[in-house]
Amino acid sequence: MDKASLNQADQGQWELAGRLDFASVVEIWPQLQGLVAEGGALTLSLAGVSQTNSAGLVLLLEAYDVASRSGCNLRITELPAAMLDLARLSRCEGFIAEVA
Amino acid sequence: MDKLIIVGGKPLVGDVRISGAKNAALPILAASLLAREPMMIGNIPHLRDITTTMELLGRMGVALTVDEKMRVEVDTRDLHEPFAPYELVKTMRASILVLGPLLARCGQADVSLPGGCAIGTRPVDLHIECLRAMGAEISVDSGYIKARARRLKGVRLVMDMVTVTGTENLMMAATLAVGTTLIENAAREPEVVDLANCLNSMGARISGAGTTSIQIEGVETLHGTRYDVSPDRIETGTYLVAGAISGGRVRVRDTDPGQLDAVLHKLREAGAELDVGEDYVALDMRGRQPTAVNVHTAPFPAFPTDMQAQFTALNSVADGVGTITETVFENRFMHVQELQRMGAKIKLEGNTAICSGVPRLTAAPVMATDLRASASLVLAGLVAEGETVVDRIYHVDRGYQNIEDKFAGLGAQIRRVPG
Repeated sequence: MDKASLNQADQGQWELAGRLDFASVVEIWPQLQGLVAEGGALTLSLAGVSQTNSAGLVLLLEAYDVASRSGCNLRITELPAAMLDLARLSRCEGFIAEVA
Repeated sequence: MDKLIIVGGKPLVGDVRISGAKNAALPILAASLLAREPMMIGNIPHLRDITTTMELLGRMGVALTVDEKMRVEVDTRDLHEPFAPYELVKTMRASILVLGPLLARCGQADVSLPGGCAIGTRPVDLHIECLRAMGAEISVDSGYIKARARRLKGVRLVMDMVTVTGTENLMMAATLAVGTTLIENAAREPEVVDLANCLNSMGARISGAGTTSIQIEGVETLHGTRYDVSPDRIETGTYLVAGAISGGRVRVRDTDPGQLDAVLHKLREAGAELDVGEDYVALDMRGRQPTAVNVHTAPFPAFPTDMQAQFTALNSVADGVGTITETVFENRFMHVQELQRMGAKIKLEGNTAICSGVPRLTAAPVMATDLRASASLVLAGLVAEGETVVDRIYHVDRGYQNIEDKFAGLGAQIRRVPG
């Protein structure tokens, strides 16, 4: 199983990797929530995400929501094609345009 | 409210992919309540009733995720609230489909009566009567059906009317009953067969689906599965009629032509040349005007009532006089008045619409009144001279995924204007 992880790459730069599903986003969320709640600037790369579904999209939407409220400038990079398709399907293109 | 603006007059040409059938997907999503393991359901159409059903299941404690191909993973292991609230049920009558699975799986179910359907009227009454015959204690209190049963028992159920939803609900309930249930006078629709196939892939023992007598041998538990919902036969038929009405050449793919015999027969009668493959139908009118046909609706495998409005539109511009007789539902000619506003010559006599074809329709602002009526107005707009505005298209959105994109892919001049 391709376990999900959230690791720091550099100052203000983090990498989300592995499979984002219903079970793994629950494990990842407290760490991601803590990061965006701190404020400042945060770049989150999704280059290492191997598989995702609506749970992964919801994780990002929640992170964006907390970031907006805490004054965090969240930028998400390397969005997987499946995530982009899902965002379009869910009519969340506006959100993607905001953070990507 | 969104509107569709259609500039008609152009023959439709091209390929269109058919989505999964909503009427199969809804009961299959309800059936997932019976599984003790996660299941993956593919080819789910992206429609509002689907998301409403997902919300309904989610409120019960079911975990649902969707991927970019609209495959839905359903995990009911944390199901703890066998309750379907009015606020969701009122928006979708098919919510009653959770009654049988919840009762079978949890031993209890509190399901709101669908809006506008008082107890004592069919067919909800039939669901309740049959579940009582299977040993359930059911009361109706404050607008809710409250059903309790330690474990349902298999019995012989003779349905006094053919009902698709009733057959599906009872078939699901019977999968976990003690002993064998026999449903007589069952609905034969392909959506019932699709549900039975899905349940069998979960470990159920159902035979006879697709006939009027379905036998269900109860089992202790059902497991997870991967299952793809069947293609939508009414969407298939609608795009074929679009090809025929416009004198065009349309190929519908990822469909199941075997579910459409009666419709294909009528399209041939209307002058269409058809090439029928395993998962596609190609229609070519060679630029000809369709010939008027006589249609008589009846339960499957006869001509489906859900294709009646589309053929009324077809007859409106056909050569000759065709009659459309509706025997399944009363008051299902609401599209006729709107088609008349576009210049159609249709006379209503009881449950029959007599259509004298005219060479062309004229664009007009029209209003959708129900799902299939809306589809007929879109079809009429595609062949009308000028710009047709179809209002209240939330009806059409309930049954047709991305309708404007699909028609645009066939060369139609159509666009959505947000309301």
